[in-house]
Amino acid sequence: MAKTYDCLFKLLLIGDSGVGKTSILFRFSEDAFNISFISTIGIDFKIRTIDLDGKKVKLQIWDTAGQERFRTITTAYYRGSMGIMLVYDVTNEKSFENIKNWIRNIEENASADVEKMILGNKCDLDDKRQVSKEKGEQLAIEYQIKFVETSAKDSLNVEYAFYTLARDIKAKMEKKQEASNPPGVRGGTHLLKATDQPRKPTSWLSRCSIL
Amino acid sequence: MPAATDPSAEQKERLIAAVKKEVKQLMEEAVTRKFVYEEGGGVTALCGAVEACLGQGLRRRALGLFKTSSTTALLHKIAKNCPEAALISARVLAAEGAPATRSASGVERRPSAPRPPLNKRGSGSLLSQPAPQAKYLWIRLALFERQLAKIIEHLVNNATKYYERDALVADPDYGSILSSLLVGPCALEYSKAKAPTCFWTDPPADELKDVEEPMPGYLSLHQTASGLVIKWTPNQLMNGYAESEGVDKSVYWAMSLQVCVWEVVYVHVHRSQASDALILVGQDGVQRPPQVFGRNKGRRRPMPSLCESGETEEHEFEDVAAMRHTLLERVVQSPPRTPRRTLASTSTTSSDSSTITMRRQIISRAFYGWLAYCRHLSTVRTHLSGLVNPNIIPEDGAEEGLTEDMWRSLMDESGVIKNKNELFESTAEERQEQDVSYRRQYETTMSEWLCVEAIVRQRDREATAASIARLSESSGKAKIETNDTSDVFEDDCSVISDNPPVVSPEPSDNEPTQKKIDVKPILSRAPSIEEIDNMEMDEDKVKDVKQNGETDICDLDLNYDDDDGDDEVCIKSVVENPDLRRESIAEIKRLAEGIVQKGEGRALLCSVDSANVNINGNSTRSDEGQQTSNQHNTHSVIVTNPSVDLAVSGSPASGGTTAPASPARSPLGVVREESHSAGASIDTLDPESRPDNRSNCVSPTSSNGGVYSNELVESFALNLHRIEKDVQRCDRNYPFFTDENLDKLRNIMCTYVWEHLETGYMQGMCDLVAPLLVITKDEAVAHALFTQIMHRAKDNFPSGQAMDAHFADMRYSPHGN
Repeated sequence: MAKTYDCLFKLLLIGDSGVGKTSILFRFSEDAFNISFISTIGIDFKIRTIDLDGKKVKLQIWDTAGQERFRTITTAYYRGSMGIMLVYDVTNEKSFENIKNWIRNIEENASADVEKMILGNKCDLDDKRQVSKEKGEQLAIEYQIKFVETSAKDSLNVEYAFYTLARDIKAKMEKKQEASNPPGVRGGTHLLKATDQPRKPTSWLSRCSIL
Repeated sequence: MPAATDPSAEQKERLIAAVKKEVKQLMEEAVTRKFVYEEGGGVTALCGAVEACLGQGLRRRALGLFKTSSTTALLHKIAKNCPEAALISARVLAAEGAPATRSASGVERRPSAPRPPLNKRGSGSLLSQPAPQAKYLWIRLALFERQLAKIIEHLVNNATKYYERDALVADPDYGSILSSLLVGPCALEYSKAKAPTCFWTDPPADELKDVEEPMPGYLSLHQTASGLVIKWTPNQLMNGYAESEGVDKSVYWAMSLQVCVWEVVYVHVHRSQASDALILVGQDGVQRPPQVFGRNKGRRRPMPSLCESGETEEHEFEDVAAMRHTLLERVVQSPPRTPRRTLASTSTTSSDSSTITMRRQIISRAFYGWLAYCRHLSTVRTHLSGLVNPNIIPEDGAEEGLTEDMWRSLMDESGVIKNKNELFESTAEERQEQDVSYRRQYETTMSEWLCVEAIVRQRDREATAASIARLSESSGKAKIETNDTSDVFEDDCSVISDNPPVVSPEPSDNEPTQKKIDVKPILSRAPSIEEIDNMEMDEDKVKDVKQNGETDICDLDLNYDDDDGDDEVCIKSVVENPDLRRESIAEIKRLAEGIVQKGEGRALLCSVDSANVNINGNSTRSDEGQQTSNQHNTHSVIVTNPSVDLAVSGSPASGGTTAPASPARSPLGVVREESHSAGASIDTLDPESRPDNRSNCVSPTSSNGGVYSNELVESFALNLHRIEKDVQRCDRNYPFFTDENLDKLRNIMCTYVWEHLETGYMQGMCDLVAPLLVITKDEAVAHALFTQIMHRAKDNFPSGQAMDAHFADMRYSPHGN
């Protein structure tokens, strides 16, 4: 079956239970929001193809269970991911404090060059806010990670977050490829095609699924 | 080429969804139980789903792979290029090599299942497992070895070699997702150890989709070694199902249902407009995921790992047989589940007859279980009724107890009563006579033990006296000696009168002549009981005593002579006139006390006639008193007050020794009162009350004329103290038990114990007597009744054997099987 995209990125959503990972993903993949809270069992995934600088980028987004009991299982999925979104809940200080633990978790389990991003979700709930935007930004600066406050409910910054992360991954990848490929090859946009054409998707897949 | 429009995309979507669902369920199981049971339904279901994915679009012909075990062959094929596959391939070959002849074993697990065409399980089972785990062998092994994700990743990366272009594995989206999804399961802990239950405790994930269409299937009942198993299998998995080839079977495997009836304790059926839900509760109290049956559609939720195949397990809950029956009926009759399509018609009819047989068997088993239980209950009942009363009165209203009406009706029926008088099989006169004789007997007995009691008291007093004397001596104050002896005597008196608390400080103050003031300091230094005991045998004292002894004796003699006559009259009157009984008993007490005062205890001789002998024996004791008596002849009795002071002053020694004498309501109440009033004017009282006592003592002794052995006295003393303790404890809150009535109680107890000294007093006897006394208000009658009761109740006291028997019965009754 022929590929329907130019490249495939595997993203991962992590964060404490109930911060809204699944809602963010639901908003991004279905553009919908469900107020009801269904805790994720183990792992789930969604696929959405986005257009990034003229390229069809397929995002394979893995949504993990935030519950502590699934921790050992979900960390198994870190390794194959190219970008990780760390989600906390602005109305839940604890979830914010745990971001540091999640980052440590990433350092221990994910590939070293994985792209990261911090999302402060539920920013629509201003009256219940416990974590200021400044605090989030400060943390992001501390770890040199991009940060954005989102609201899956109000569809605020969700698209932006995924696009940003995808763009960063793409940029990093192109940089890498440029480094490994002989110079003089065409620009970033054509980079994928420059490699072996028929096998390209599978090569991407193989990279994605180094598990 | 838009994937969405691809007709095969839907199928791939479904295949992946099935895998995802199984992955989730496995994860749930893993986190709930920390590990996954290798042979559990979750693993099998996941392997089935994976198998389905891998089998779809496989280029069998091109690869030379044929119908059976094609994915296993594929594994062996890629082993050259993929180290993980090579590892598993070797394991599979090894496993298949050992017990290679188990091809039919799969039937037991899911009996109605055909072999899925892609299964390699046909050739063997997993190592030595008796259960047919051969299914999806290589996937299973790869999963346990945590290589499955990598092997599939290899397949995905080289999909073009092995798969058609539209195969799931070759799909750019699903291929990688399949391998990625399996990363989690490969990280789980697997165990061959079966957890107490292999049911996951949480309901299945909400996201898991139902199959909406009505599902025809095959319902079957299986009798296994461990019990009955109900199975339901979709038709798609049946042998000979038309579309069996190339269809994703995992979905159907997930739908198949297996209920081990013996594991189910409760069955809840929830009915609602839209659907019915059947919830099974296992022995562990864990609810199984609900089975939802659509009203008309026959839709049901999958319950993949509801129950494992019939592995033998011991189950203790036997009395759920009825429940099982309910369940079975429910399951069998539940219309939505029984297939409606023509396809399933054969299976329905065939299951009907077997169902009936099964039901009959279950019912009969339940009945016999119930019967056995009833038999056991009747045994228990027999044992329990043996505890209470061997004769069971089955009459209506028996629970009210033996009312007067009941009694009468019983007697009427039995024809015993012709008229009221015949109730007791005796005439009123006879009964009266009996009562009189009882009383006479009672009083006689009482006079006997009262003598001994007096001796006991005297001994107690002596012990106290001697010890106190010792104390004074050891204190080294020679001057005080005289005081000491008087103290001792006083103390004795107090013991007799038994009313230390009653002692008023006034008399002591009023009688400075009696040297009580001197005594006090000594007493306050009271020795411990042990010291007192040690001092008893002080010899020095005896010498002193001897000198004074004679005068005392004279006094006593005089008293005897004076009062003898009166006393005898008293006793006679008692016998003749029941109304005077109480008084006569008081008399007897007085008599006894008289003996005590003579110090009879030492000699252990109590013969009335030889009053002199008694006196001689008493000499040591009376001598002590005599020192004081030199000044006041009658002092001895009167000195009560000082003795009281002793007790009040709180000297532990005196308190300890007098305690058993039941100070508050002494049996010698009469004496006490007298001595009390005596407080002020000693001289006047002495001739009246005290002398009486002394003189009285002659008659009881004379009537008994016995000599009591040391053992007898000691054993009675022991019982006496016990009785007094227990009597004091008895029903103090009940108004009836005034001091006077407690004395009665004590008397009854003492009398009984005197008659049954070999049994002695045992705690609780008092509580049996108390109600009798309340009802009869008559010592003698209550005593007679109690004696009768004890004929039967005796064994229930520690000396009898009945206690052990009862405990044995009790032990038997609660457990029982």
